[in-house]
Amino acid sequence: MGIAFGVLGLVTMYASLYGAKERPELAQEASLPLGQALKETYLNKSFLTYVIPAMLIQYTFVALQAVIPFYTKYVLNASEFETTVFLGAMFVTAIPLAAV
Amino acid sequence: MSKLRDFIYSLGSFSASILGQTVTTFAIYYYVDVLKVPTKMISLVMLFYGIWNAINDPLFGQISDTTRTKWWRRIPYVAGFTLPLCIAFALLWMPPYPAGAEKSLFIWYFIVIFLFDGLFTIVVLNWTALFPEMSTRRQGTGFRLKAGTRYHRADFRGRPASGSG
Repeated sequence: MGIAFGVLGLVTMYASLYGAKERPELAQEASLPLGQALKETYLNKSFLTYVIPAMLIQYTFVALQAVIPFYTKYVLNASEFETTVFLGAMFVTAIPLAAV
Repeated sequence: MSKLRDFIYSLGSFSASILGQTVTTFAIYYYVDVLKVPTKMISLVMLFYGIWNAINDPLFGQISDTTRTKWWRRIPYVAGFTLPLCIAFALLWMPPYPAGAEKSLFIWYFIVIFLFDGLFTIVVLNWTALFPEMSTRRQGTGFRLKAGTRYHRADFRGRPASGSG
């Protein structure tokens, strides 16, 4: 299963490069040195206002997601197949919502 | 033609999701519940994993920003590191130790998940950085935006200078 998913990830990522292109002129601009880039980022009020709620949302999703297999097994007493169905249902629900 | 191209580019989001979300959902469960590694040990790995995550995004972003090759600066990273990334992903699910070999599995998990996340950052960050840089054309931007938003956060390093702030 690990290999199957790995191959799927491999094929789709390499395929995506066919749709990607880089604009060389963008690489002409000099980029900020690391120290200054970090300073500009963490002293940027708009960024800080954004990043705290964004981090909390990420945290919630990651924590929730990691708990799902335990939840379906020990609380719902579901089999592995039923867990797959459960996750599949979430995935299918999410697809039309991507258009919102 | 352009829509097809956009769709093909967005396949990278599928790749990033299937690898990233599988690890987020099942890695802890697999090592704790199936391989019987004590929760304490896995929590310790996850703590350092979090710190590594905080460091590697700006680090690899900076490296990518200062890269100049004749194949440009984003595509070489995606092309070169996708294979190692997928190998690290597969290795995570096939440890060479049996369930219950706590210490060996702990060390294996520690090394492989660090490797996985480092490679994931290199590939997905560079793939994501292509997205705003490709959008000179106005049409189709919304589509690309949806395809790319999920991993947008990987790209805020280096932005404040050119952004409005």
